[in-house]
Amino acid sequence: MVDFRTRKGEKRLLNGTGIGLVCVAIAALMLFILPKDDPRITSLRQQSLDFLEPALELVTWPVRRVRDVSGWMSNLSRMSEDIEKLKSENQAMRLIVEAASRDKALLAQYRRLLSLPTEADIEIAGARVVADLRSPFVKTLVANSGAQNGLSVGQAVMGDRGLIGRIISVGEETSRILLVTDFNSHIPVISVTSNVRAIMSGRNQPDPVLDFLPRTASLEDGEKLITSGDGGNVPIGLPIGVVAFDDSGNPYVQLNDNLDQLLHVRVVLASTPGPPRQEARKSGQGQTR
Amino acid sequence: MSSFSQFQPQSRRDLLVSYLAIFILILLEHAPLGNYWLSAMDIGIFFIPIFFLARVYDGPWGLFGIMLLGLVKDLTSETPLGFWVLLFCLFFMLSSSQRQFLVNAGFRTVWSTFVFICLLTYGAYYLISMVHTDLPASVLLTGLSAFATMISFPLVYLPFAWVQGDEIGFRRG
Repeated sequence: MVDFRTRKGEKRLLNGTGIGLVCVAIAALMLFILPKDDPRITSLRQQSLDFLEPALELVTWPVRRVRDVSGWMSNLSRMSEDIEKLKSENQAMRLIVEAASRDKALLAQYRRLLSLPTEADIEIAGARVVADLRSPFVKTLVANSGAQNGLSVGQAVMGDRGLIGRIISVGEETSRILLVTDFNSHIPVISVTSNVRAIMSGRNQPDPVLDFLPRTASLEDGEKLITSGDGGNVPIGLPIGVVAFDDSGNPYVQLNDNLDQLLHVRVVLASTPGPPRQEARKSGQGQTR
Repeated sequence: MSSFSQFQPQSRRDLLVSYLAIFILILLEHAPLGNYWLSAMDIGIFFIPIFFLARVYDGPWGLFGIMLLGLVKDLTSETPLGFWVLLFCLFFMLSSSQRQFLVNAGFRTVWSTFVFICLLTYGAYYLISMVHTDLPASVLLTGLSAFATMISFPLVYLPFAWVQGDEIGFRRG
C-alpha cells in the first residue's frame, strides 16, 4: 500500500507552499481568463451534471424523503380543513367550468370568423427536480429529464401554478432550468386587466421586478400577469403571478409558485419559432416558418 | 488511542475517505431544502473536512485533490471556473499553515482557528465577487453563509474526527 506520509530527506521538485502558489495562480488565471458563457464550458457543465446525476439523486434522496414525509404529515393534520375548502371550491369551479365551456365555443366561432391562426396545443412533459443550484450568484435547478424526453433549450418551465423559468442547457438525461428570479432572466409579460406590456427581470432576490414599463402605465395591485409571447421564446398566456408594489411604489411580481417548494416541474414542449426564411424576406412575402 | 500530534492518515484509503466526504458535502449542498435562505446561502460545510485534511495530511497530493474538488464545485454551482478552485486552495493553504500551531490543541482552539480561516476565506469570496463581473456580491448573504459555516463546525467535524480516529475532537481546551 502506498504510504502518503512525509519522509525525512525526501526530495521534492516543489515544497508545499510552492505547490500551493502554483495552484492558486492556475485558479486565478482560470477565473479571470475563461469566459463564463463559452459554449464549451456550458457543454462541460451539462455533461458533468449528466455524469453526476446518479450521485446527486443518491446524496439528496434522504433530504427529499424527509421533505415528502413532513409534507405528508402536515397534509394529514390539515385534512378536514382542506376537505371543507375543496368542497366550496368545487362548487365555485362548476359554475366556472360551465362559463368556460360557453366561452370556448364562442371563441372558436370568433376565431373562424376572423380567420385567426389557432395557437398550437401546448404539450407538457413532467420532470423531477434533482438538484437546487441556487447560491448568492445564480438561481438554477437541475431536472432529471433531458434531450431523451424531448426537452430543448429555451422551453418554458412551469411549477404547479405558473411559469418558473426556462431551460438553458440540455443533456441526454438532465437539463438546467434558469429560474425567473435569476439575474439573467428576462421574460416579456402582459397584465391581464390593463394590457400593459413589460419585461419581468430577475434580480437574485425572491421576487422579480417589472422593467421597461410604459411611462403612462397604470398597473393595479393584485393584477394578474401572463406571458406575452413577444420574441417567440415563451408561449403566450402562461400564468406567472400578480403585480405588487414595494414601499417605494415600484412594481414587482409575486409569483404564483413558491420556488422553494418545487420538487416537480412541467416543461412546455412548444417549439421556438425560427428566423424568417431568406427567400421569403427577399420576395417581400414576409412569411415566417 | 494515539494523540493528535502523532495522527496521520495512514493510507490512500484515509485520503480517499476525506475526499469522498468533501465530494458528498458538495453534492449535498444542492439538495432541494425548501427554504429560501438556506438555498440562497453558500454554506461551506465542505470546508470542514478540507480543514481536517489540511491539519493532518502533509503529502503532495492533498492540494491537487482539493483543486479537482473545487473544479467539481465550480461545475455544479454554475460559478465561473476557478472561483471555488481558488477558494478551496486558499482555504487549504491557510489551514495547512496552522498545522504546527494546532499540535496538541484542544477542540475550542481548533474551532477558533477554523472560524478565523473561514472569515478570511469568505472575505476573499466577497472580494472576488466584487471584482468579477459575473458574480453579483451580497454582503448579507456572504456574512450569513460564513456564520452558518462556522456554527456547523462541530456537527461535521466531531463525527468525521471520530471516524478517522482523531481524538482531538473529544479533548477540552
